[in-house]
Amino acid sequence: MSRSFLSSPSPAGAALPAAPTLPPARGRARVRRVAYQVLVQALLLSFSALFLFPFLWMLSTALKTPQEMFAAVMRLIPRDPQWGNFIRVFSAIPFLRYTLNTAIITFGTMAGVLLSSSLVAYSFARLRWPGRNLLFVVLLSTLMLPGQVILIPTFILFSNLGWLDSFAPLVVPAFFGGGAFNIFLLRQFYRTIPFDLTESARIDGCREIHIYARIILPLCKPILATIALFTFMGCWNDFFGPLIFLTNPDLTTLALGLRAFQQQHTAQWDLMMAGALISALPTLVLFFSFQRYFVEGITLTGIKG
Amino acid sequence: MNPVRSSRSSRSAPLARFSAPALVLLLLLALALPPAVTGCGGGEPTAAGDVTFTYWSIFPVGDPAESVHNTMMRTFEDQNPGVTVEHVGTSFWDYWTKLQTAQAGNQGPDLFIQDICNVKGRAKDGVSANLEAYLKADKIRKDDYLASDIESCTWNDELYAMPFSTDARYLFWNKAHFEAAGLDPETPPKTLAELESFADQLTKYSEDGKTLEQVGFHPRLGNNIFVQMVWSQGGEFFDQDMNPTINTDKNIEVIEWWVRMVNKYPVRAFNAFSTQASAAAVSPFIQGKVSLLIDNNELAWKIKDLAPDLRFGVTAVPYDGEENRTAWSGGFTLEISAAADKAKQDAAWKFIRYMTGPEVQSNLTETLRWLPCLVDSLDALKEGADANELAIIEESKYRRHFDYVEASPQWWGYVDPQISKLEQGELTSARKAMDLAQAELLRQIENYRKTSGQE
Amino acid sequence: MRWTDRMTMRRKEALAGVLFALPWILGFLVFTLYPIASSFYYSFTRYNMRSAPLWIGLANYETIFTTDSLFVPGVLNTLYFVAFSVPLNLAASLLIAVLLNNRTFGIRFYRTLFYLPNVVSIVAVALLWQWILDPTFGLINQALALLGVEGPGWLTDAAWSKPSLILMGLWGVGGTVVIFLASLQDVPASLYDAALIDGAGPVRKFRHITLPMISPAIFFNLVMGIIGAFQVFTQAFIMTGGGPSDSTMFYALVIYRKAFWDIQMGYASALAWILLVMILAVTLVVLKLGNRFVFYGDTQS
Repeated sequence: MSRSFLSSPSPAGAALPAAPTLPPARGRARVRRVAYQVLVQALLLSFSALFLFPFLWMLSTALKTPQEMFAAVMRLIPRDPQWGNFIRVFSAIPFLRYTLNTAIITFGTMAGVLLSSSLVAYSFARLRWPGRNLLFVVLLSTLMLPGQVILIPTFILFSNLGWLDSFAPLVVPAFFGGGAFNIFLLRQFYRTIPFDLTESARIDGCREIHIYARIILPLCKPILATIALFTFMGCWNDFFGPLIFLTNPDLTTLALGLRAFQQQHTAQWDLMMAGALISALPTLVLFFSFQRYFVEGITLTGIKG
Repeated sequence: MNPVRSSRSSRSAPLARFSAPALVLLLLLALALPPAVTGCGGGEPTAAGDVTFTYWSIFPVGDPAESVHNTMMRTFEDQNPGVTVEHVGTSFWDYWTKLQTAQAGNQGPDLFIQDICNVKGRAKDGVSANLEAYLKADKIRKDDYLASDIESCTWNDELYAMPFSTDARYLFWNKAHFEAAGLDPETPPKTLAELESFADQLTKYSEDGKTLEQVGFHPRLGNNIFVQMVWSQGGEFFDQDMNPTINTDKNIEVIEWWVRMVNKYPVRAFNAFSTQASAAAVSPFIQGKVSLLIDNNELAWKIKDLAPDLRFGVTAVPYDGEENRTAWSGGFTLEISAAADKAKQDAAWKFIRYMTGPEVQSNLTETLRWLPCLVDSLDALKEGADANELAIIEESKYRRHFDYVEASPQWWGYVDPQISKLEQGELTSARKAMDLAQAELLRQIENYRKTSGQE
Repeated sequence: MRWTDRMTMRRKEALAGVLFALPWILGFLVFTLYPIASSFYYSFTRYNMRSAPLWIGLANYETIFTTDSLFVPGVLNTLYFVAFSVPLNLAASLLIAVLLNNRTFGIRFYRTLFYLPNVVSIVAVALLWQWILDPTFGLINQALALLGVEGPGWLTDAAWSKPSLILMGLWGVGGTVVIFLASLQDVPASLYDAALIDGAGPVRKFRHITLPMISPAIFFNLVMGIIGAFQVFTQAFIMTGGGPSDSTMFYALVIYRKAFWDIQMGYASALAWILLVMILAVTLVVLKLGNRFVFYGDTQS
């Protein structure tokens, strides 16, 4: 059997040697490969339209004049694009200050989540200790109460700690566990790594922290990148936490600050969309650059078979 | 052996390399936190007798009205040396959650804007301070305000909030549409029957009959609620003792009219119409697609901005008998936290007096586009006003707020789904629907009683 | 190896286990336990968030189970949503992830694209969907009209409102896709090589290699999907407000109403704890079943 069959659809294609080293494809296989590529492209293209559309619509709204926005017929391409809206939003609210505040919270939280959840998940996934399974269920059940009913006690807690009007309620908890979602996600990935791999290291007298840092973590880059991305996005767009815990206007974050463009009876749609688009850029850039991890995959796959 | 401690030994180079970026981030965080933590202290030395009080409003930075609101505060500070207003504005859509949470955690502001419809609850629970002593000391006359506003701010015969701003509902009519349909453009409908027959004459379909081109009157368009229609016809939802009376004959009659009006328009055609109207984010009345519409005074200001050439009239929502003339209304109050220091309360009261006094109230419509609560200021607007503005001023004096029901502060939300079922054809008898609504509200009240701990 | 050595290793492992989990244990005790315990306490009180909670015993629970008119519809609507949206989301995101895992032209662009809806502001999303689902002008019904089908009033018809919200949810699968994508990267190439030698076709490879190898990720997305779907709130809150005719009155919406309409936080907390028990029960069943179907690389459990 020719390997060419595998070269495109294989999830591990990236890890395989590049095409030139493959033996020449035989006729039928090549037809199949081309057909597969066409199918994939067709599916991707048709889905893409669905997923791109809202973003284009947001851009279009950001560029419209109020009159055009009020026009009865909706148009995707504005007649008279108001690129100035993207500049106006910087003077309408202290955009840079808000961005700085948001960045501090986001990067602080990311650091906390990555450090903390990767450690804790290691324990839940690969170490045996009494009470582990029970605590894991407790961990999961912290996700099952709707935020509405723990809002006030959480507020009272941070109030008693004297943390209100600081970034502490938004950042510090990330260092203590990093969230049940992330712990669970990492646990699932840690557990796919063959047990023998670490057991032998352990018998060799390797310390647990070294097994974690030297063997496990390097194998989990894609999922760590995923968690970093989720955390970034969650923090960057969160307006509810800042709304409740921050009162000093100087500490306002972007997502919260942008809400000012919506009043009881009216809204500055153009500014709101322009602001939302600018604030979405960092997430997109981050996503685009983190893809490296998804594309590259695990170069060490050889040790896993 | 402690694996965690061992990790800190300098020998574990790979780990150190791994966590270097994380350490940098941590350091950044450590640097960033202290100013944030100390930032809230705000402890500049102040002269003896100086007072700073906190004030929360719905005007955040970035809101077009924020600068006007700031000017009010700065003017007040100039007039009252030694008093400083520490203001925090939050978007209307987020404000209530923030305020409620902060107050539940005893971290609320000294002075705050609130909703006039539920002052009584806050008074009863000791959230808002009793203002009677201030009224007496400053000889503020309740009569200077509208009786219905004062009533909503009163609990156990004492005042707990000062009415600050308000709105009211009106019937708007498009004069050009009236002329085109052969109706007298200066004579709006005065009764529900007239409203219905005018609407029939004004409604227009496309040639194929599938698309609505002009809606005569639809009760769900604009800023309207069944409560307004029922009140204007003399119906009531609660008796003197606040027991629900949802399913009275009078109420059912008006609801039947309401559903008949809704069902005049084919569902598909109307849905298409209203989505198109709401997608445009501007009232279909301004677009010239609706001939008669119930909405609040805000619509009049918007017409001025967006369609100054639109020929329209403003009048009362059709009512049955002078005693039932009603304009459903909401409004904002200013309230002082009962938990605040006396000195801060006193200073906050000075600010309330300023904000609800003639200086601010007379300009409220111009600055914040709200109707003033101080009656003299409202009347002062009559000077130079056109007929529509006069009607807005006059009719707003008939305003009325939702009844306050402790067991169900948003009781209308339990009635409306039954009306929707009628409109959707899931129920066919208005009596049945209103019986269901009555039963639901009684159940809410009964459940509230059962969970009161007083059984 | 002597058994005493094994004992020391066991003990060392347990110690390490607790130490590694310590950040979360501390965080749980300090930041999570108090709010959760408080809400549990509130559920036995009348609490209006203004005056102190008043102990009323089981009255909230009793009322919910006997005379609350929204409890049963709330549960049924939510179960409907969970039953359809969770499998649908899983299947769709797995399909997209497999597509995105190809090496094909413009793949970096596509990958970013599928994540776009997750970064778009929720207000924009709501406005947009109202337009897409509009009975007459909406994209969907206009497309259906081309095929000669008369589309329903997606959000305005009680029979279609839940399916509409479920369909809408598909659009936010970006997060789940990313997890699957990361998981697909972890499948060792050597396994496919071996399959190739055995002459396995793409379908068989997917069934016998890909699916088992990414089963931990499927399991994760399943459990989180269930937990999330039980708490479905935002779409319904913004788009339908629970209507028409309470057809989208999901459980979390009932909780919201009690807490913020009726200002009965104690009652809302009782509702929330009943929800927690329901989710926990379902999750435990899934966890149990999961152990049978999920293939882990470790051999210990």
